[in-house]
Amino acid sequence: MALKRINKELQDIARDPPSSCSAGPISDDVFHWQATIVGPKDSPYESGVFFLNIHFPTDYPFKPPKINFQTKVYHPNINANGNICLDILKDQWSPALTIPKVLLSISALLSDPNPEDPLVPEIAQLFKTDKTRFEATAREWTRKFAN
Amino acid sequence: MYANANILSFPLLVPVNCQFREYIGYIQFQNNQYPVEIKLKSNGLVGDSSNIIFDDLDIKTTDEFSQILQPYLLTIKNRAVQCKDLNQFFYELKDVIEKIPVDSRQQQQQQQQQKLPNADSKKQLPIQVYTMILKELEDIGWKRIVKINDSLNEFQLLFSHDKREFIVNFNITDQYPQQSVITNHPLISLYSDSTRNNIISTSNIDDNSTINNMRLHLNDLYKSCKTIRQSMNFIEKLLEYYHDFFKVMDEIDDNSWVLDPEHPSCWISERRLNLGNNTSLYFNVNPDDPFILPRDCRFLGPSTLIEPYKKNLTKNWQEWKPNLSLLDNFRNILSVEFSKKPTLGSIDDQQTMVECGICYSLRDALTNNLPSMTCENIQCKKPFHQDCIYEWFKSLPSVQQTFGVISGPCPYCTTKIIVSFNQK
Repeated sequence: MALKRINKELQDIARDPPSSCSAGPISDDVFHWQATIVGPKDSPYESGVFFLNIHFPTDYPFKPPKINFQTKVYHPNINANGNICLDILKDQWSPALTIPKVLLSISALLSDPNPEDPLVPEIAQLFKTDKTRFEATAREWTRKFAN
Repeated sequence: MYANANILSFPLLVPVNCQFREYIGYIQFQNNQYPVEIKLKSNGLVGDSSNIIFDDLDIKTTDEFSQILQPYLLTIKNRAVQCKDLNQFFYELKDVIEKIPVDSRQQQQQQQQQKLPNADSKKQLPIQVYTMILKELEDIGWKRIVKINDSLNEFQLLFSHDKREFIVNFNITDQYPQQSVITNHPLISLYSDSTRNNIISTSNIDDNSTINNMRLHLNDLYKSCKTIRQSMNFIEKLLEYYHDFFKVMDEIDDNSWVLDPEHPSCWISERRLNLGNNTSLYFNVNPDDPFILPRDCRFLGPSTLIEPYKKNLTKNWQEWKPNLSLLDNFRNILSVEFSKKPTLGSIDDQQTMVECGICYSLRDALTNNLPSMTCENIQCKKPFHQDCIYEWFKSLPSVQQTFGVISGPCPYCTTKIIVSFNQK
């Protein structure tokens, strides 16, 4: 069942490619995808290309896909291992969501960090207290790692 | 006469020269002949008292034969050193070769070859049955036979009726002609199913006397069909009897979008037709009387959308006109429209309208069922397989489960969906 649904999502992506992101299996294993997100405009991540790993659980879509950043990102909700703190990847997951929708949400998270539910408290602290310095570091990291 | 003594051991081995120290030819081993060259290298005279020195013996042969000889080389060596000349050696060699047991692989092959005729003979029928079958098949004509097996007890016959072709399997047992020879065919199941249903209905339908007479006639034929001829006659009568039913089913399949069965065929009486808007109509045409209102008319979809259909059906069912086509009747009574299945290309969007919103398939991977649940929200109307939505609700911590009913939010619009799972 998971396989059929994943293949269907892949077909849908091929037919109607989402803007500013892409996704697809790396090799023959359709349960393992790679995705890219282009850093959203008017954010310190602008024009950066971020790579993500997607692992589908065998009981997908009843369980959310496991997604993490391969590219280093300076963000209050993304840690050094690339783990993402996003509700729809955890308890707010719904089978109505698809990979393009999830990637869009991650893209939105880049534009709009959520310092109230941080994964990296120091970055969240900086984001709240000194936004200019936060943005400068995020821009620096984007230039360094996502280009 | 040593020179020719080797003929007794290996008749296919001939000396290369008069010294009889070099032989070339073939050695027979089990059912094969292997090319061999044997040479005695030492300069010792033939026939003198000294024995053969094995290292002087040069035997060339194929890889296959040397592999066969490999385990016996020591024996051959021991025998060779006792021999005074090659002829004696050949005698010993023959002795050794003859004692090599038959290879187990070859043994199996041989056994299989022996077994095969036995296995066949089990399938064989008594000779008098064969005489009957052959005579009948000759009468029927070999052209009608699509396929027949070697022992003539299983074959397929072709029936054509109104541009339609049916292939029916026949299986003859040694009980022939005491038992039925037709193996399961959907046509026969259609007949036997409707026979079972008719036990109840025939008693209270009096005006269908022609149908009843026809059925009684068919029942007699079915009971008496034992020979190939009788069975063929029965099938032909059956095809005639279902002529109208097939036409009705064809008309439905040609002019509507059939969701279920996946591959509609004329001998399946159930249909689920797409009415659009995530609603569908299920019915079961009566094969005996295909022009009347089908049994078990049901509607599937959001209840607000199917409620009008239900009302129309209860209000107008008496308007059903047997002289109109089934789809026309439904159009009049329910005020619905039937659209044909979209051709490939435009299919995608409409296809997703009827696919399950969770597994993205039309048919459940395990049960092969179509989505039977629909979100009641008219803006959403997402269809789901009962198993899929049940599985999803079970994984949610907030979901309530009481008395065979589980309810939770639609994954798309969070409208409450109620799933009953009595069968679980």
